[in-house]
Amino acid sequence: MKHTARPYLISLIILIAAALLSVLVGSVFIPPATLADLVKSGLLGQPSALDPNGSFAAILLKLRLPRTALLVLVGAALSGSGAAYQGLFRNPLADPFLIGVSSGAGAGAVIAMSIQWPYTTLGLMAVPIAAFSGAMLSVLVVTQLARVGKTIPTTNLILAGVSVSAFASALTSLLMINSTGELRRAIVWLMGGSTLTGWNPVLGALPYVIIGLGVLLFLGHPLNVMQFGDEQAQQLGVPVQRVRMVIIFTATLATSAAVAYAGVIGFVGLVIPHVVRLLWGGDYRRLLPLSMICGASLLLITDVVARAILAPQEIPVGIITALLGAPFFLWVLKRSKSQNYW
Amino acid sequence: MLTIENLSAGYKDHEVLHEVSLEVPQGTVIALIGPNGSGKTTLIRAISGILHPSRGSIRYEGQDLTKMNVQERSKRIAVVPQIRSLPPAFTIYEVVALGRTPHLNWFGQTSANDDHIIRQSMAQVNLLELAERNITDLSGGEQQRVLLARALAQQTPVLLMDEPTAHLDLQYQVSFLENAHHLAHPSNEEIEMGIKPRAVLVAIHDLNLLARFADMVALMVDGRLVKLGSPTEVLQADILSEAYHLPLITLPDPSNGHLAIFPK
Repeated sequence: MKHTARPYLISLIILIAAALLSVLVGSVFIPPATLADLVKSGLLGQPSALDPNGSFAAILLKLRLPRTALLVLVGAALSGSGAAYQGLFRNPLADPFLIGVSSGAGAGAVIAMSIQWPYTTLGLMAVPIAAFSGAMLSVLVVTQLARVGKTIPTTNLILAGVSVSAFASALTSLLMINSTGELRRAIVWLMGGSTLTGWNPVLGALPYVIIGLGVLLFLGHPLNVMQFGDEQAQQLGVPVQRVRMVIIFTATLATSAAVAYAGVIGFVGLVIPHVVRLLWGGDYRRLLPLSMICGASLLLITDVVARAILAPQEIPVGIITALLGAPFFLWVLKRSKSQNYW
Repeated sequence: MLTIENLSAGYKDHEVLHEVSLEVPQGTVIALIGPNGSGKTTLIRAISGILHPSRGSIRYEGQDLTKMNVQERSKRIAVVPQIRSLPPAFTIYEVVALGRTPHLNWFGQTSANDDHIIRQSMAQVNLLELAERNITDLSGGEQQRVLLARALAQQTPVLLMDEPTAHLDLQYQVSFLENAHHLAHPSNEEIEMGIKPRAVLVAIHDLNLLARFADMVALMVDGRLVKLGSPTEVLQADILSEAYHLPLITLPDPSNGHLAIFPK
């Protein structure tokens, strides 16, 4: 377990670059010089020479920055909880989307939205809580369905995830057909294209993501021990049942907050932990934080692509992550069968 | 000393162990033998806290192990499991380091002292030079020694082993069991270095290797401890024939006089 700072340094540099890109690129391109000038003048409290009428500043503060911040939270949440689920189920294909957690959260969120739509202060609270309830219900049903004795075989996990996902998605569609007028907005949201703008969603998601991911950061060592199975982990002094409950609770909390504010975005939680594992090893004490950082970067970059590909029209970012992630999923599936990879 | 008194334990609706009493003193290796399904593994699982006993007590130095939390118990009892499948992303050093878990905080941060203990544990089973190798690249015999080293790094006074030699070839079986013997009977040098004699309980199938390493033999049949004594006392043709439902004969090994067992 080489505890060097290098992986953190590299991934943080990538994150900063991705964040800059995300802030600058869009239907209106903000030149880097203007950004620098805006930051300088903002710090000095003077009007900016390069942005005399304040339109760049408005785009930056009201649109770009909150979007970037939300994507960082969502990417970190999905990827961090993906890594945690993979460790918990000792299964390389556990991803919040594939095991039905995201769809469950989506169904919960839509139920709340169909009551509290459009967003109010109360609605902002109700949506994540409903999403969390839906997600917890899904994860419990999936693990119960997939469990054989004490292990959860990959195939069972995926099959149970797919069926719970299908059920939750059908429920979501049913509710959306009923909700008049907001259909398009909801569809876009479901595909992982947030229609929410401004700082409210960021502030709404922030506490859940911080609590969820913050607790997960403490669980790297127990997760390492649990890779040897529950029985050995217990004999090595890890209170397995308690750790398991805490991981399910916190990973699901972070996932549902991400889904509630950004929609169902698949595969980030699958791709990133794998890439991190290949690059820097499987020690969960590093895998968890590095996955969170790199997950944020990946989502920022795919979102830039989603905005650029058919500009000025935006594609929901979930479509891009699925286009990238689905082939990756097949590759992992093949690899995990052919090699002693897991 | 590990003291088991009138221990009964089992699974949901059927009891497997019936009123087992056994003492494992420091500096003693007890071999646990018996036919398949006689309750050897269940006994080890009950002592290590995986199964909760329905009756009876398990104590170490008078302290009730069943009332301890997992961390406290894992400071007293370590288990060497059978190797089945091991997760690939670990080096030998990293696996042995996991044995320090009961002594670490949540972050699993190891100190210089922990590092010393990890290296000492690897050295005890001759793995030091392989420290950075990936565990899945090792032979079965080496993997089993890694799990033994991990248990040693726990620094517990009691060691339990569940058929540790089941997947090993003869050479590794012998050297592994000699290791087990050595752990209960450390050399004077090791005692001076602070290594204490351990209490070792080994569940094992191979009756012919017992006499080489075990101080005592405990024979289990149908969840009951039916005979406890020295290898010569327990390895008797009539006792074993009855336990295994198979006519057996014992013959002394001409090289060292240890008894060897054969089906008639």
